[in-house]
Amino acid sequence: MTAESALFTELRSKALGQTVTLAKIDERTLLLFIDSQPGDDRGVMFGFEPAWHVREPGRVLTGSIDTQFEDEDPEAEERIRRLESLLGALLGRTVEDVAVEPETFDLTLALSGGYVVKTFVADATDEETWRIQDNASGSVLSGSPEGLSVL
Amino acid sequence: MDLDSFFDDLRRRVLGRPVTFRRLAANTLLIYIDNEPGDGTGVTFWINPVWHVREPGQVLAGSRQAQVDDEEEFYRLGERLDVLLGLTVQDVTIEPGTFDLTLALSGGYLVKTFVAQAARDESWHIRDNTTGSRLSGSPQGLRIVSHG
Repeated sequence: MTAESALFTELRSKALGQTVTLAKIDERTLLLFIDSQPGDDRGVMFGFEPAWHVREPGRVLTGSIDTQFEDEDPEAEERIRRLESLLGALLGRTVEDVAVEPETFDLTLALSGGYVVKTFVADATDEETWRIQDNASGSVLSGSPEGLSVL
Repeated sequence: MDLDSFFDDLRRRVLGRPVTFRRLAANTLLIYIDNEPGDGTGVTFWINPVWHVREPGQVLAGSRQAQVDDEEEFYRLGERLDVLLGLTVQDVTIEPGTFDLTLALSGGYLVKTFVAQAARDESWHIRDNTTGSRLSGSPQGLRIVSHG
């Protein structure tokens, strides 16, 4: 087993059955904290880089283009607040699966109630599509179209 | 004609047929089956961002790579997509829930869309060039747009 796949197995096992405690937009990155808050030294944090979307049963709730604003858009902050309010639907949901797609290395996070968060490679040269951070050890697993890497 | 019949009809017409032309209109990818621009025959797939093209084992290119100001870079991206020419259509599928389109081509090549904006008007359309009618997909569902 490679270091990358060993860390993936460990992080997946830490996240399974745990709950989403915070959903936040940082620039165009979607951050999901599992069993933790920013700065905590426990739990796991998922970072999804564009392109990503969040599905609720039967439809897409929001996606990374919804976080794209013109420079100095006076409504940007309000729109981010509205998006984060939509993402409130994820809070308290438990992690049911974490999977990496062969070939693209896209990440799918399946949550209770049929909610799904997915990435999608829109640039074959992207350096990072997603990351999972172990808040206790600081270990980070990063995914890109080239594969997985431990940071 | 209802949505299912129209999709089935378009799908039947392209299965086993070759990609005869490709074009990037800004970051929209056009794939021509059995026709070239202006022919008035065959079927054309209009794939709006977000999309990617996969070759066996990896992603060949994605829509964000077409969002460049550098003309040479844009031209090179188009050249990479020439690998699709001559490949035949193996399947056309629509994903429930997102209405994303997957076009499977011979040799293990795939063209896939991805909804990254819940209120998007159109993710893709498939145009019957003989009648001008098209099947349009968005996160809200499918619709038929007659002629034009």
